[in-house]
Amino acid sequence: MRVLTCLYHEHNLWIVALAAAMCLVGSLTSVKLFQRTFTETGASRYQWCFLSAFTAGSAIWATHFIAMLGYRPDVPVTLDGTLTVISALTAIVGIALGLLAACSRNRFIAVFTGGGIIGLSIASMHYLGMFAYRADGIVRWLPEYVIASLILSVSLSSLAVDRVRKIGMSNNIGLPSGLFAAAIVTLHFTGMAAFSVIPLHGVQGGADSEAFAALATAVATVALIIIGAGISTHMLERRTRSKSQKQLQYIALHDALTEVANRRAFAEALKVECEKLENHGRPFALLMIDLDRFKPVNDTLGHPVGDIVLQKVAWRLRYAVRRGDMVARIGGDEFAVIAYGITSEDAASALAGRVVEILGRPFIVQGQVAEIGASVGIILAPDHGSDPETLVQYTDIALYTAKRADQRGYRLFEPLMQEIIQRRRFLETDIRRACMREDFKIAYQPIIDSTTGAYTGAEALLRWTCPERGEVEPSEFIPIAEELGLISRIGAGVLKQACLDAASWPKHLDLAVNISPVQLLDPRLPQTVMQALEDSGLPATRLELEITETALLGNDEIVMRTLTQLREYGIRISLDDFGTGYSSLSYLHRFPITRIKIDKSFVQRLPTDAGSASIVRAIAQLGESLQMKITAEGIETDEQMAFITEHGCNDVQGFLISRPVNAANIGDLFHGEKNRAAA
Amino acid sequence: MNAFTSHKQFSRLLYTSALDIDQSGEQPEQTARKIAEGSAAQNRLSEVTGSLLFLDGAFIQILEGPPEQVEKTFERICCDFRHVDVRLIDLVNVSERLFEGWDMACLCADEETSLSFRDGLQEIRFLVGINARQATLQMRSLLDNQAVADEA
Repeated sequence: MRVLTCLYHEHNLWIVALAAAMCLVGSLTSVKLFQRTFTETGASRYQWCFLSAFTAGSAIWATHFIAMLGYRPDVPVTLDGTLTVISALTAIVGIALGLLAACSRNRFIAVFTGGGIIGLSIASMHYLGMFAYRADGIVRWLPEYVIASLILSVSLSSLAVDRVRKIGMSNNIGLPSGLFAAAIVTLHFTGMAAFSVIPLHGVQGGADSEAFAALATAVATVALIIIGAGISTHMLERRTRSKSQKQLQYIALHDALTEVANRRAFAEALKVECEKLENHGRPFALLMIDLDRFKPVNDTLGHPVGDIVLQKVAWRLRYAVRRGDMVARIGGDEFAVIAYGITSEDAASALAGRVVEILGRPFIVQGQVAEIGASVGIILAPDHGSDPETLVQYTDIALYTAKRADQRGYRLFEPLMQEIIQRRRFLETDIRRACMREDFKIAYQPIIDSTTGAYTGAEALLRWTCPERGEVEPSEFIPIAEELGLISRIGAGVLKQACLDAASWPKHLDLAVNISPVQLLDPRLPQTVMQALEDSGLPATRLELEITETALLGNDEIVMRTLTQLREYGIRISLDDFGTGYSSLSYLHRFPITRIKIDKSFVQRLPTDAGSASIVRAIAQLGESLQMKITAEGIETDEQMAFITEHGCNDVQGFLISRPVNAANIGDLFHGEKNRAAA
Repeated sequence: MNAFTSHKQFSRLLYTSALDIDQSGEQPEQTARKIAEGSAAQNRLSEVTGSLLFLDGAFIQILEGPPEQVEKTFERICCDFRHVDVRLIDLVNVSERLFEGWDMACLCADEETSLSFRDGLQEIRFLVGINARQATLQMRSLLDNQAVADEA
């Protein structure tokens, strides 16, 4: 009760109101700064601690001082300047120490020691300030109020510290600020209640209230300036920090080169989209884009040009997609698009078509032209999957299929693609194993002279029966073996075995062996061939190597050298599948070719298809004038046989004559004929 | 030597493309004219000059100007879905402009085009596949003829 009556009767309420405002603003600022002090680490913690202590100490002192000025004892009053200054410093130093203790990890130490020191420093400031307050009267202290003020101050400060520690950096500072303000206010007025002055008789006059009011305003102004400096430091620092945080976030989620979203942002967006799909059923399409022929751009025009091309690719993609779709760069030359709200395959295909179209257009960079292109894999969520991993995996499969297709472009995921890729993966393993175990077999297809009908030789054909998957077509496994780099090894084995087999055939029969383009590029090929001939004892003149036109494309020099060398040994070279590829006449002229094999696709349309008939006739005439032998492949009917014979193809092979047979049977076949001829 | 190190200060570019029928609506000639007008407006700002030929749904366009501006203009064209099948036929450095004074001349055939003019366009279109430089010169002379005809 005495506290309230003291407040009411003995104070100038206007000045008290000013003190209260001071206290409130000071507390809010102090708590804000305390928060920073607690969350900072290292050296900056001490800097924040200093700033907090200075601001809070000034605020507390100002509150006290202004409130003191509002105190109206009926006696003359003087102030001791030194003690007043010391009281202010006490508050600042005390709060600094208290804050340091309150930073401790241990909650008990932090709250009780830290809070305690702060509470006691408020009290010390107050009572020191009171000693500076010299009233000309009989001064009396009531010890119970002094003790009560200490207890209240310490416990309220401790509570305030505890709350500040708990809220972290949140903006919810009402409660701790209130507690801190309460600590200041209760201490002050309980402390004032402990103090009383009885005027001495004969000494007249109270305090000069006008001068006091002016002084109060001055102190309040200075304190507010200090508080303002404290809070503005905090705000300024926070704004710079949030700006740099935003910048950091931008850098973390964007590709530095192209400024589209990066892989991480893409993964996050895809995850979010999948969650939305699950919760709200919002469909979307995912496109993965891989640039074609980009590596040559880097290699020939340089990486700086390649980088600009990538920037332009990203730029064009933003034109190709719809507004709001996400474009991301997820790898060196790989991009992805998340197209929101796409439900139909047509819409997804249309979008992918735009991507393929726009990236297929030329790029001009610093006067150089880069022609690239793009393959796109598409998937629809939720039609084909609804979790990020599955979607990415399936899109990759679609992209892989698009990339391998003859006609580049876009592919929509189909479950069948997965099976094809799975089968291919298994085949790869099986081919490696077969290559180690030499599981490949050779079948021989006999070739006959079209006029006499007598055998002239046989073509060795590679056969493979996979233990798990049964017989696998050469057209399926040979490209895989080529890609795996196993074809040279397999080819060498075939050559060796075929030469061995053929060595036992009658001496007038020839052996034809296919050589893949990859083998032809291997400079050791002549050596391998000669070794096979030597080991088997087959004369070089009985061996014919069949090459395809694709093998002659590009690497002229190496192939030319190899072929010339082989030709010098007496080995003949034939051009297989003629008419289907480039059929460049310059090849026939430049390379040492001795035979042309007309592709079976023409032969099989004989004799009814006029076009095929003319082509076959033309090739036969060409061979005649270039002094090359001509073989027709794939003869299946008597009519075809008759046509071929009539138009001057030297040799024929096909199902009409014989299917490919195994090594033992071809031997029997050839020897049987010889015996028959002898008989 | 590329366009930036050349002592020749201009780039001249020729490309062909086809109007995307799905996007052009019912009057392709109007679309073509609109494209020419739009590009002329843009070119005035970027010091690019040139000529646009439109015949039976096919475009032949020549752009000339400072290399980086030509590059920028062509990039903008490549982002335009109103046409398809964009093919860059020729890109050379030249010391002077051939279409000085034409922000984007429009050589566009429509119903009112005279037969001889149409023949001229047809010839240029044919030439582009064989000799792009010759086709470029031909476009210029066709423009001159047109100017003479207009005056007469």
